[in-house]
Amino acid sequence: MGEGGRFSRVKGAARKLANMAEGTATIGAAWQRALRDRAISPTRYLAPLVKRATGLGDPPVNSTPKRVVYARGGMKLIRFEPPVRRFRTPILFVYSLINRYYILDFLPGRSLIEFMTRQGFDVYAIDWGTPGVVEQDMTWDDLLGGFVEAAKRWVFKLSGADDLTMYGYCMGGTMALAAAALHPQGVRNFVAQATPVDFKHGGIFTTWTDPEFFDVDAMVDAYGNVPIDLMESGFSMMAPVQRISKWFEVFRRLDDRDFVTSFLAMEHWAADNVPFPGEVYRQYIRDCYQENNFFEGRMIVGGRRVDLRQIHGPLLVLVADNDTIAPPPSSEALLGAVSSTDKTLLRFPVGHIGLSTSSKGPKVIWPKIAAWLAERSEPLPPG
Amino acid sequence: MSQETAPRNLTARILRLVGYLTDPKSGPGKWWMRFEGASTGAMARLATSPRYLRFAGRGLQKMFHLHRDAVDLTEEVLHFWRVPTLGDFNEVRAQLRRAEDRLEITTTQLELALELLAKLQAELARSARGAA
Repeated sequence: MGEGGRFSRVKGAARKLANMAEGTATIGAAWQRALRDRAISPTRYLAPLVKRATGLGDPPVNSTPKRVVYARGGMKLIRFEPPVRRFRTPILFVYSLINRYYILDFLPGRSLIEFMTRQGFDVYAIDWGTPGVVEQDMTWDDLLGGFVEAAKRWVFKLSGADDLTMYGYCMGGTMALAAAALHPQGVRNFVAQATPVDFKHGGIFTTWTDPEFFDVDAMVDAYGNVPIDLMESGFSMMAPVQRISKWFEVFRRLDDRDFVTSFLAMEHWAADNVPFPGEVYRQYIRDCYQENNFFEGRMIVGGRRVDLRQIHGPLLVLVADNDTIAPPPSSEALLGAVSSTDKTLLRFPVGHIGLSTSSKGPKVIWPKIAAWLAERSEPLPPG
Repeated sequence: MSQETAPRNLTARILRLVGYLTDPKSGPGKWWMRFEGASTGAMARLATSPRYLRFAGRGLQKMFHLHRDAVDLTEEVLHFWRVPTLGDFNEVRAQLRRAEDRLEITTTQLELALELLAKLQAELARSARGAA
């Protein structure tokens, strides 16, 4: 072998070694951060390994073009303008205080928000931000009468519309229903996606939060806001072994980049938890899970009773057959609780998150939602 | 579905091996599946057992009270010596973040207002031309 050949072999080996050292350092740094944060989620430890193995970067979640149009404290109202606007009636997404809103803007081609903008809707979403010390004492009234009402005003101002479609998801749906019942002005349509309503049928969470087992006052008094790791450990209890074993399938399918990307995106979102504002949590657990006051019309927000019968407009209830967070009977109960005459129930064979991220979304689920909305939204003249 | 060349680095090989060992089709994987099924069943029973929930609930309640007492005591001692506490730092950090947020948003809102003004101006100019 000549000098040149030997030199290139040494160069190749050195490059491999350097590459390996760089990879080890990256993984080491990621693990160090996870350990420092005392992260419970396996994602923080395993995602760096999968990224290293596949050469994939961070998944492109939340990438639909957007602009923050209003903010109060850490909360933001985000606008997603459509390429061609076909409807005057805008959509306002109200997401849960657990996890972040961008599950609605998951991956390009698998994003509910992107889909709606392509259908010609002017879309807005509330990002509740990361609650800090200031948000500890925030109440449901601050959220609904304060931020959601202000967000509605900004939506009207920017879209030029007089009414909107309120689209609530999960606990965001419960909050949006309370907002629509207390302040029905300007709510033309309501979409409740995987929204728990009758908490008597709230599944495992109703059992866990039973006042006999769970002292919500002690938790909120101790921590102010509910810490991420306490929420995380609750979710871990639901399926502890599967939280690890689902990664093994990824290990077997490392060469399937689409699968790995959507898996990493989902795990990235699931691990991106935020603390739950303390006083809002206290009232949520007590009035919803423990006493079912929300559904039975006894919940008081800002001195007023939340009465779901104040909702008169068209209502679309979206239910996931395999939902363990908002079990179907809990969501379907909404149909009998409102005064609307135009009521539609759509059920899909997916899980709680699948309504927003499943590959069935853009093909099966979302076109039906968009068609329902199109029929009930004010069209804009073409051009 | 995009199928690409299998990654060949060392990390990929190790992960693939773990994947194989837990594959339901492989020998060790069958054991893993059995363990997963059994542990899931056990956890499901535990998570809905009133006896366990009562026990865990009492433990959590004690932990919350202890945490609160410890924080109160620490803050009191530190405040006595006029030393800022973690709570004080957190408050300042939160306020700084808010200020940063507000600044960013105000800039965006100004941009928006300018855009709306420009639109209005253009509309006015159009209607003035129409009137002329």
